[in-house]
Amino acid sequence: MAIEFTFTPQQELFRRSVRKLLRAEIAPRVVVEKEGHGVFPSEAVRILGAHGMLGVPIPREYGGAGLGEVGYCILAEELGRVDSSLATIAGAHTSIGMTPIWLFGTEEQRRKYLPDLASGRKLAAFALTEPTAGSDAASIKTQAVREGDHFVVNGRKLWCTNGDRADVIALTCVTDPALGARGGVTTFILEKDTKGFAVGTIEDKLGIRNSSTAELILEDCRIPVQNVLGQVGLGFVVALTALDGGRAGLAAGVLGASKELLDIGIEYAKSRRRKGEPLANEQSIQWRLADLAAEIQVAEYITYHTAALVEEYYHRLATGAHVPETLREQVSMNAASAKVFGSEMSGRATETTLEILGASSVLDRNRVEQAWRDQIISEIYEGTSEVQRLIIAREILRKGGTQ
Amino acid sequence: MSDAAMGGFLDAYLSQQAEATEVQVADEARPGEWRTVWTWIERVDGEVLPACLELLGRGREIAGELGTRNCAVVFGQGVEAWAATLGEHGADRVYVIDAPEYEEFQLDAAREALAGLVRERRPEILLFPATIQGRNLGAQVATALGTGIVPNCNALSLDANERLVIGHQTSFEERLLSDVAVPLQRPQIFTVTPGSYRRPGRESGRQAQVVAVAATVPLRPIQTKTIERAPDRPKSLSQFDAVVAAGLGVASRDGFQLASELAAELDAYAGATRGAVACGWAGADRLISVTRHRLRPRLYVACGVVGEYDHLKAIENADLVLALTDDARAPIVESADLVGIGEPSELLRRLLDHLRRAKGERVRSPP
Amino acid sequence: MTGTAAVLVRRVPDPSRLNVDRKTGRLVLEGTPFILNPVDLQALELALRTRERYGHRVVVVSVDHTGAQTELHEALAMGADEAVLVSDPQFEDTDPTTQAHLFRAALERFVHPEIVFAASRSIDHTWSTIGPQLAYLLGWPLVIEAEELDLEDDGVKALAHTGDHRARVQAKLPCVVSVARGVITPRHATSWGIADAFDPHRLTVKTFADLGLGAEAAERLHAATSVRRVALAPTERDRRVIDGDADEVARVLARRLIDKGWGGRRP
Repeated sequence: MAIEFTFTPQQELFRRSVRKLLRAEIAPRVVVEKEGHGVFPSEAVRILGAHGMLGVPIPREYGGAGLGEVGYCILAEELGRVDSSLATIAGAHTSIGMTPIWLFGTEEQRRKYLPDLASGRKLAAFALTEPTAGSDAASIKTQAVREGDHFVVNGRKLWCTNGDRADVIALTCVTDPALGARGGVTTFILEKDTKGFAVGTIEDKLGIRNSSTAELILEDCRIPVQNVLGQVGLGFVVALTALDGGRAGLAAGVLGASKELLDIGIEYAKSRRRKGEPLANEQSIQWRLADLAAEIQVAEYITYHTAALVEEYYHRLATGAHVPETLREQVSMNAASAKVFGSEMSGRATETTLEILGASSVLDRNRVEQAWRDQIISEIYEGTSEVQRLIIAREILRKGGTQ
Repeated sequence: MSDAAMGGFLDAYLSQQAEATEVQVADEARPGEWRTVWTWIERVDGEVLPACLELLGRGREIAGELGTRNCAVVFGQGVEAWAATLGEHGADRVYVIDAPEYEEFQLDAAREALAGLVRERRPEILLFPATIQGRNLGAQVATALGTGIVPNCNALSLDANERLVIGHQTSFEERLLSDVAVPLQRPQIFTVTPGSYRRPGRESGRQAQVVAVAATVPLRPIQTKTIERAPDRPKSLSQFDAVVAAGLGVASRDGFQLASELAAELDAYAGATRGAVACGWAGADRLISVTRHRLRPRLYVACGVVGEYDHLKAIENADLVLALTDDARAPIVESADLVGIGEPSELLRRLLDHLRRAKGERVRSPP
Repeated sequence: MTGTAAVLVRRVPDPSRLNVDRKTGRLVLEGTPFILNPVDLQALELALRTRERYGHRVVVVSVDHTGAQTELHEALAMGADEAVLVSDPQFEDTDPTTQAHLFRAALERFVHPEIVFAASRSIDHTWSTIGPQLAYLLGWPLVIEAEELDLEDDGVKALAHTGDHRARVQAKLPCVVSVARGVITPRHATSWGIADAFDPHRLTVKTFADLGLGAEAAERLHAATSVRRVALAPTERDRRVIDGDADEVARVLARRLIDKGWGGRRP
């Protein structure tokens, strides 16, 4: 076959093993808290770390599993089936927290930070968004001013997943306001107990309650020059590269969530009866299930195709090889498409399943009810659906067509 | 067997059909023929395992259809004195090794003695209970004799024309039913799950013929040594054969208590639904729900349980589901095999009554 | 003991995906996913725990007629050092009684273990006899239904079963250890384990000819047991609803339970 879209035996073994681990050790530990912030799943995170699930794409030499972005997306998909909060925590840690250090870090930085992060001994986070800079990432205001062998950082970051307990944070700041996004932004590796860094409000959220979303406060925070990631002025590239690739993992997560919802809907429709007949015999139910199943097929292909592209892209970046412009464009285009399609699909999945389950779906602490609340954020974080559309539009307009 | 004979693939096979010895073949088996049905008698703390009596009963039926004798085999100290009473449970003949060194089961000794006896007497069918003892002894005897063994059957049927017993197994987590036989080799060996057959009624005064066999020194040395006994392992939920769960329908703590008594009566795990836990009748550790368990008990009794989705998923693989409920349209009814309609606590009370009254005699080895 | 521990493993069809051809009464294996027999994983786990304490090599050994390696990779991912697969189309019609001879030959030729771990039970029942059968052929002691194991100079001490009761037992090496079901929780493969499991040096494939048993032995491979027919267990429940006077209902239910062997019976 000219176009092969199958997983290798190793990838299939990985998926089976992950599924077993999640079902046996993680799913029973998922707690749905309605009051307060939710409960950070420390034990579940520890177990994932101990089994090497928090450093899947990172090369073996740095303590990861070296299973690439495809391997990571398999994990993300399976996590998405089980608990979106956990998928979010793992994603922030692996995809956008740790990956920039691997891609852009010096050998010293890699060896200093990656082994602990890949084994889950330490947790990572990614901080970009600010009160006045959400979708418009270029208008961040947190400033980092060079003073001798340190940068002094002042500002506030919002919506930082894992921010309240991360040991290592990829922090993006303005180093030259005049240059703006092109050369005026730098990403730093911020260590937790750096003087001048504090955690502010931890948000109460509708969904993904068990992941912590924190405000970070930087007041004369002194970061050593050795902790510049990549180089001064490269920050925007660092942050956006991480986000681009991160979208693959995110798409995988919502794919998993959608599959799980479809499975619940199917099982329910087959076992429940209305007027003596299983619900599954009703055409209206069949249509809804069919629509969702078809969309899931589409999402699966684009998600893993994107993962394979990202894997190639990252490999070149990390080894300093030339990155063809076409590859970058393909990653950008596919990642945006996978993310927007997948996240909106998961919204339709929750609706479909809610309708099929009817009254029992809104029962307290029911999985579907939780999925409904968790789903909404997927269309917002790591670039809203609107941002994805802008990315796609820019690409196709620039090219002038589909060619 | 000498050490030289122990080695070699071919030797093991050739020893399969051992030369017929002329010793007391009696009226059944002609040279080269295999006749009679044997049941291995296992004893626990001196008492004959009821499962063996179940098999002796089934063996009698099979032997009857084959026109041959139903025999039992028992090793131990002082067993010769009461072996004849196994006739009351269906044995025509009992082969006995009465010696102190056979009182406590020892795999190597039992295997050597039994295999030797089988080579001599040539039973066509050999039945063991599927207990730890039965399964391991049966397996090693099968290999020693170069014949087949069908483990963990829950029923045995008979093709009388072919003189073939067919073992029925339920495997793959109760999903697959298989019919398995030993077409060519002899004896045909089966291990049968305890509880598969009813114990036959006792025929008072019926005596079996007792054949005392000399205890032989095992040709292979006893290889594992017991240092000390250990208490039985506490059972985990998934190891219980039976589970009794109670829900809000039992209406009160007293009703819940009745369900616990039923559990004790059936040697079952006493579980609870979310509602019962919420009422404080049982601790959260007793909750049965799909996120915590996928159970496969042989018996599941749902007392006053409505049948929430989570709960039903957890028990869907139970063999036999009995529901006590006052609502014929409750979801639990669709997942049950037997449904008793009525007020659950009331049904529980009366069910306990009937079970206690009907408790049968235990079989003891006569003094 | 400084040498090698062998673990006998077997792949079985995934119980949740069984497929039966109703006309022939045979399992349809093509297209059916396979798994490692779950109790084999428990046996492997005990072997790995023992290795962690005493440092020997753990080799999983399998006899199969399809040549499939996936399940062995899973064992390697869990932490086994090596895997040996003896595969030959001639093995299609074998059962544990005949496979025990093949395992024995494989162990003596390729593995040279001082201790062999085997499951005491199996999801398909048949495989459950392999431990005691192999112990008999090897002429080694059998430790029955072990839950814990300590190695000493030339022997093992185990919390196991005598066939009569649970006990602490002792046996000399080399020995066969059948592993109790449901007591030991197998570890999960780690991502690192999976990454390393596909190293070709860790998996060896042999054929019947490599066993050096001779052509005559091939004729004696045929299974002593024969599966005549299989069928999927019915999933629909045959429901019987009993209504009426409470005492009468209870009486009928009690009768049904007793008929099926429940109530008043000894465990």
